[in-house]
Amino acid sequence: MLTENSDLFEKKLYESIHAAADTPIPPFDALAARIVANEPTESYEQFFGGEDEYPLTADAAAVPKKSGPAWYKTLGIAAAAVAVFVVGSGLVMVLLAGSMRCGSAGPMNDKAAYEETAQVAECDDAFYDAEQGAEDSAKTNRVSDSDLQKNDTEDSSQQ
Amino acid sequence: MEQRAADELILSVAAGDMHALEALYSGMYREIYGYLLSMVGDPHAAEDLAQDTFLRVYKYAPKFVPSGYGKSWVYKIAGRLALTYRAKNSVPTEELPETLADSHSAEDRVLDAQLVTQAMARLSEDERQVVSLHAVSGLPLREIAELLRIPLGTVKWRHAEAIKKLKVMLGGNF
Repeated sequence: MLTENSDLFEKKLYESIHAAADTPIPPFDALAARIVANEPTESYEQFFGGEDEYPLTADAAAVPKKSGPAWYKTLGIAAAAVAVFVVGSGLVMVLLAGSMRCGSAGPMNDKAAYEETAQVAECDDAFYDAEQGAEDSAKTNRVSDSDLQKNDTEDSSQQ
Repeated sequence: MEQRAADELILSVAAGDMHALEALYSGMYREIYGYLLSMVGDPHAAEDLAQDTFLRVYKYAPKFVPSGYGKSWVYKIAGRLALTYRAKNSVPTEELPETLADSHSAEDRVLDAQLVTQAMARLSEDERQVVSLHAVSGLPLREIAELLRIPLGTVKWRHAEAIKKLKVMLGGNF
């Protein structure tokens, strides 16, 4: 029957492993005899393959890691760099486009603004001239009318 | 046995003290044997390899650099021997029996141990090693990470994966 409690399973598992390892310790004399016989003949460097780091398993020694934090980290950094570049470029383009519409940046926009201002100035001048002309004309007419009235009065007095 | 106690004994062995070697042998034999049994799956081979381990501890003790990890050094030698043994001998992966009598007799406990040994042989070396060290030597996962010089997260992950697989293999028999 499958157990749902992983702690219970682990407890039973470790008890079994302990039970398997529960063995009488062989007498030390046997070991001492082999030492006297100068076993083993392998040197320390030969035994560990001359490596500074001695991997404890074949997996660690021979099999390259298929994936790991370094791989994911590199991919993450690259993705972040691309995202920053895309967003940054987009912002710069938006700012440039906005500044072109407002006419507040760039020599071409200055020129256009100058021309526009000059056109407006010409229009203003023309309008002023037109106004002035009208006013002058009005003044002349008023003078003529007053002169006419004056002449009429003089004529009347003479008769 | 504590790491530093093992350090001091190994240094004494390097000076030629056979009593220190005997103390190290009697203090660590069972856990080294249990670790090797989990790694190779054969009691006789585990016994021979355990003796070879202490033989090499005596021979290589002058090369030992004390750093508070004396036990780890002995486990490294044992692990290397297990690795060599597995490379030279194909470890049989017998089919696990379908059922096991639901009893708590001593015989069944032994049978449980045999089943566990067989199931352990089916794990990857990394997973088997973590479970063996944790179960036999009682090392906490943090010390296992220091012993194997791998991140604690990796040890925890391997342990969890091993337990998951063992649960699938042995779940019907526990």
